Amino acid sequence: MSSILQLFVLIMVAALLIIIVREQNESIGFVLVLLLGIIVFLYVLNQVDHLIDLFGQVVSKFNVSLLHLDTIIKVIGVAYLTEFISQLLKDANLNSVAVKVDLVGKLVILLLALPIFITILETLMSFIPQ
Amino acid sequence: MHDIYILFQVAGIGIIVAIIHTVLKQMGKEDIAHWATLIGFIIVLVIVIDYLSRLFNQIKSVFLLQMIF
Repeated sequence: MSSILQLFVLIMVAALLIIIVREQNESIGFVLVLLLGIIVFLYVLNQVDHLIDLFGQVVSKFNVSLLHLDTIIKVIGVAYLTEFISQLLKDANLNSVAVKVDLVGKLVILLLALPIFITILETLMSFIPQ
Repeated sequence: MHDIYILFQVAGIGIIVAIIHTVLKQMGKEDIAHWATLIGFIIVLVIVIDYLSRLFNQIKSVFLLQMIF
């Protein structure tokens, strides 16, 4: 709990630094925003690692065959990564580049989720009487 | 949480580079001022690229993305 307060204070201090540096030097201000994103993301990622471990343990313990669990985790990862990059670019007033990053993210997610989609289609087809 | 030092380091480099830029501009050396800004930016980038690669490796290991990237 105190760790999260620490993180918030870190973000406030970083925001002040970014405001100070940005009016002197635009590009280094952008790098500072990137660095803050990296630090916060690394912190969050440690927690998410525990969460995913716990989820896998629960799934294996109760013998639930949750199909394509790794695909779901991959899709979540790609979504986080795409959102991170896209928001960063939007912050730097590069909206058109951010839209392209979004496009790539959507395509990769579609590609990853294709096996699930095919499974759903097969299940639906098996319900339909010949 | 010791990563905060790198934040202060980059902010300090930014402010110092801005000061160097202003001083060189006052002395009338515009081209050297621009070079100083560029070199400061490159130094900052070298610091950050290490962290960025660490972040991407961590994402790859946490979200099981080893195969596709």
